[in-house]
Amino acid sequence: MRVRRLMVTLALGLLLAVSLVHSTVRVQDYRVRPYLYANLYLPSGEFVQQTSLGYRQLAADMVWFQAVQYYGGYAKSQHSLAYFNGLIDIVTDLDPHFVFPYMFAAIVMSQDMGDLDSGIEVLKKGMRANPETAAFPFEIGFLYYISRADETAAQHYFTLASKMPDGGDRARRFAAFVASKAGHVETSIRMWEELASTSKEPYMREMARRYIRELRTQGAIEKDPHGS
Amino acid sequence: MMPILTLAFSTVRNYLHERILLVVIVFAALLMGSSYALSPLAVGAQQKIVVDIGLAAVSIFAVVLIVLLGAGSFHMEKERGILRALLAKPISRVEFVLGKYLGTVATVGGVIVLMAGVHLLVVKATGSSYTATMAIAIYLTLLEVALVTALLTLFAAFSSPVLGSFFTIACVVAGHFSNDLLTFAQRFGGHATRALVTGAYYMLPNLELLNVRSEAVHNLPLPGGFVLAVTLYTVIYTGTLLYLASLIFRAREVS
Repeated sequence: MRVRRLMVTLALGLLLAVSLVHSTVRVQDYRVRPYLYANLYLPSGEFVQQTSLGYRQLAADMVWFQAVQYYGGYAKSQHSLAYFNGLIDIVTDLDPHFVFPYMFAAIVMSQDMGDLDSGIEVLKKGMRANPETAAFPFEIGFLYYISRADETAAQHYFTLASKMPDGGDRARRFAAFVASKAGHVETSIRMWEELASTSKEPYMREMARRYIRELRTQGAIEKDPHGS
Repeated sequence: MMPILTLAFSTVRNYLHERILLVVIVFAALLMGSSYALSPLAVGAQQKIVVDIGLAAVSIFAVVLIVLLGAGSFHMEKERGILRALLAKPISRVEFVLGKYLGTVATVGGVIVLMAGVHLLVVKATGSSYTATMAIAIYLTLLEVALVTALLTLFAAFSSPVLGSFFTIACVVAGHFSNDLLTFAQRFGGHATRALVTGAYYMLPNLELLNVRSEAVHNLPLPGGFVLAVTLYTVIYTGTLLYLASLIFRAREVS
C-alpha cells in the first residue's frame, strides 16, 4: 500500500515535471510579440491626458519609452513603422514642451519613412507649442534641404532660426552651406557631419553617421553609375 | 493651542510606529533610484525622466500615505477607547480635530521633505541642478497634502475608514478633472446642467492648480503672484473643510 502510494506520488511528480518543461519550452514562441498589435490599441493623446490625473509627464515618458523601443524594433527589421506617428502624437500631446521627440520623429519620418510632410507637420506642431525654440525652424530647414533639396525653403527656415534668441551660429552656418551651391549630396553630408559632431545625444549621433554612410554610397553611385 | 500641539505630537508618534510608513518611504526611494537606472533607456530624456518620476513619486506616495494612515486613525482611537478618554479631558472636539489633522500633515509633510531630499540627490547624480521651480513643485505638493488631509478629516468625521478613504480618493480624482468639468459645462448641456457642473467645479478642490510638475521639468516660468494666490486658495479651502469637520464632529455622539 505504502509502495503504491509512493509510486503514484513519484509518477505524478514526474508527469508534472515533464509537463512543466514542455509548457515552458512551448510558451517561448510567444515571448517576442510584435509591437504592432500592442500599439494598435493605443488610445489618443487627449484620452491619456484626461486619464493620467495630473501625471501627464510620467505618462509621456512611458509612451516615449515605448516609441524608442518601437523604433529599435524597426531598426532590427522586426516590423515596419506603421504606428510610429501615433506614438509620437501621444507623447507630444501629453508633453508639448518635450522637444526631443519632435526632432527625432521628424528625422525618422522623413528619412526612414520617406514622408517629409509628416516630419514637417510634427516640427510645426512643436513650433506652435514652443515658439521661442530655434531648433524647430532649424530642423525644418535642414529636412527641406536634405529630403527635398528645396534650397529656398531651407534658407527661409535657417534664417528664421538664426534670428531667434537661441538660434546661434549653427543656423547661419547651415544657411551658408546651402548658399555655397556645392552638390546636394556633398552639402547634405557636411550638414549631417556637423550634426553628428554637435549633437549631445549619442543616439542622434549614431543616426547621423548612418545617414552619412547612406549618402556616401549614393554619391559614389551617382559619380560612377556603372561601377566601372 | 497647547492641547492641539500635544495631540499633534502624539499623532506623529503613533504614526511613526506604523510599518506602512517605512514601506512607503523605502518604496518611494527605490522608485526614484530606479529612475536613475532607467534613464539611459530614455533616448534624449535622461534628465527629464529622473525629474518626472521623482516629482510624481513624491506626489503619489503622499496621497497614498494620507489615505493609509489618516483613514484608520480616527477609527482606531474610537475602537481602542482612546477617543472617549481624550474627550473626557479638558480638550474640545475642535482641538481634537485640529490636533489629529496637524499630526497627519506633519507626518506626511516630513516624509515629503525626506523624499524630496532623495530626489535632489538623484537629480544631482544625473548632473542636473535642482531648479527653483522644482522646489516650488515640492512646496505645492505639501499644500496638496494639507488640502487632501483636510478632506480626509472631514470624511472621517462622519463615515467609516473605508468610506472616508473612498470619498477622499474620489475627490482627489475629481479635483484633477475639475478644469475639464468647466470645459464640459461651457460646451455642453442646457442651462441647468451648465449651472450644476459649474457649481461642482467651484465646489471641488482644484488640485491641478497645485500641479506645476510640467513647468518644473522644463523649467518654465510661473505667472507672477501664482504661488501666493494658490497658497491663499489652499489655506482658505483647507480652513473651510476643517471648520466643517469640527462642526460635524461636535454634533456627533461618541460611544
